[in-house]
Amino acid sequence: MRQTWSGACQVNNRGMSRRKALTIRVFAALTLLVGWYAAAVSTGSLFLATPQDVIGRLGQSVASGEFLDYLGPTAYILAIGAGLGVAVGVPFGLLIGRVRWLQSATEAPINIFYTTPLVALIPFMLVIIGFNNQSKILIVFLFTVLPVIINTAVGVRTVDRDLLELTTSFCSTEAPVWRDVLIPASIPAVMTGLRIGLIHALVGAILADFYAGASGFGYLIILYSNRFDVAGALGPVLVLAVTGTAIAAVLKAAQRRLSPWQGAQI
Amino acid sequence: MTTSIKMKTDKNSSVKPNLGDSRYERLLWWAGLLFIPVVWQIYSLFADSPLIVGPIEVAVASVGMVRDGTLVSAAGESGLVFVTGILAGILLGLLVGLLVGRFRTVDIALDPYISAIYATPLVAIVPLLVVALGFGFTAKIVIVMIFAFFPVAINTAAGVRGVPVDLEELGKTFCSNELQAWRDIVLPSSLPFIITGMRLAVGRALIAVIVAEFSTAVTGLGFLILRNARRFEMAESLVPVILLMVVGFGLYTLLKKSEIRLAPWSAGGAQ
Repeated sequence: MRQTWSGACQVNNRGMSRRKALTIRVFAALTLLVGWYAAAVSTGSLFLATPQDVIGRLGQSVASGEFLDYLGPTAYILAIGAGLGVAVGVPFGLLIGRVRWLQSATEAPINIFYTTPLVALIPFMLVIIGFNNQSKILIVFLFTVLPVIINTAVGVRTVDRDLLELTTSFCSTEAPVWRDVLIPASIPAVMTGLRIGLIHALVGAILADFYAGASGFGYLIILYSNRFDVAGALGPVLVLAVTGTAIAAVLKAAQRRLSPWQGAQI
Repeated sequence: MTTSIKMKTDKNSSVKPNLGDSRYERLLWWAGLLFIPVVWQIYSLFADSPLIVGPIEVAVASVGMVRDGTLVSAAGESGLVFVTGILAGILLGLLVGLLVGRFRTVDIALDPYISAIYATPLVAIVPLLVVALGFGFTAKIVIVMIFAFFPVAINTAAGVRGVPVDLEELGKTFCSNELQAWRDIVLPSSLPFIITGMRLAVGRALIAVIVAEFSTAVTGLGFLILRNARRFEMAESLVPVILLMVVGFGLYTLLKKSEIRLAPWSAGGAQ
């Protein structure tokens, strides 16, 4: 199975030709589709819908306007919640990455909230704030801001020490240090933070729709599921999958472009 | 050698005097930890609303809930779902991750789908799983398993892919068979990645347990949170949340520590 042992060929897809890779991909995609179809037919419509049913129902709900009616509120809370999360998270992360005492003081609360399942706080927020867009926006904000802060801070903290020493040696003031060293060097980590933060934001928005009031994309999924309309419910799920993948792909490409020497991580 | 270099740069980069530097930082860490509960307590004393309860009321409520057994039995139910689901997810993730990382063909065939699903908000399929599998134990386990699977599979695959080619070649040169290569080269060098995957899986599995309990039926900590919040018993509803925080942070710290011990050169990044 392993293609080659020679180091020279390792760069080129570990010695696998592009055509062979493409054949495998196409074959895998076909197998997957056939498998999905077979599974859907054999388990019955209550468990899984066939691909063409899902696409058909998705087309129907887009054509009837239902799709956009439910997409709107979710897009709204996502835009505001994730926007605020990034606007607060990036500067804050830069700051705590640079200022030692601030990092020590915020380390415990940030890590505790990051490792806590924030969903558990949703019923609590609903009682205090109510079933409205404010609590939904707060949920999305909280989901976004923590990964953005953590990754940005890591980016600043891992800036090459030698470069920083050099700036001290040349008596640089704080502003040029940020402009010439800290910000350029932490861009890849900020991109990682954005990618994880935005994907968390999607999760937060769906959870907010589930529990914080009957509107939005998440509610559409519940609505169709409760009607046992599996094909209908899988449509929005498919759209979410495409959105998440697109966000990840775009930010990874941007990261590669802005810092080709670093390479995107997982 | 390395420590002396590190000390030097640290002194240069921080303005504070070096004497008692780490003690000063530890003090700040504790201050940061206590800041939120203290502010919250003061705020709850001045807020008129009976819905705003302070840490002291939560602590009092937790004693009552432990005494009458509600907290313990709910934690037991959630714990069972968590452990069963995460074990299934980790085992499956390890299996798929090892195959994807080791065999180029499997990698090319499956990797796009695994990355795509990893970027999908999986909570979206929870209502569908509930319709298909019912409101019982099975649905909960499957939800937790799916959430835990992806980080383990992706990180394991990355670890196996990253095994140094030199080592593999060396093994080959000394005529090692596949089994020996796995035992002596592939597994040890991908272990740090596998632990990272497990750390991420723990966080996601905790979310999954709560989402599963919110969406299905009447058991566990999730249900306790939901029921008490609906009765406006805020202190009683926060007790399970605090317990989850402690468990989540404890497991995270434990796995992070073992990561640093197993691979001090690679740990410390965030994901």
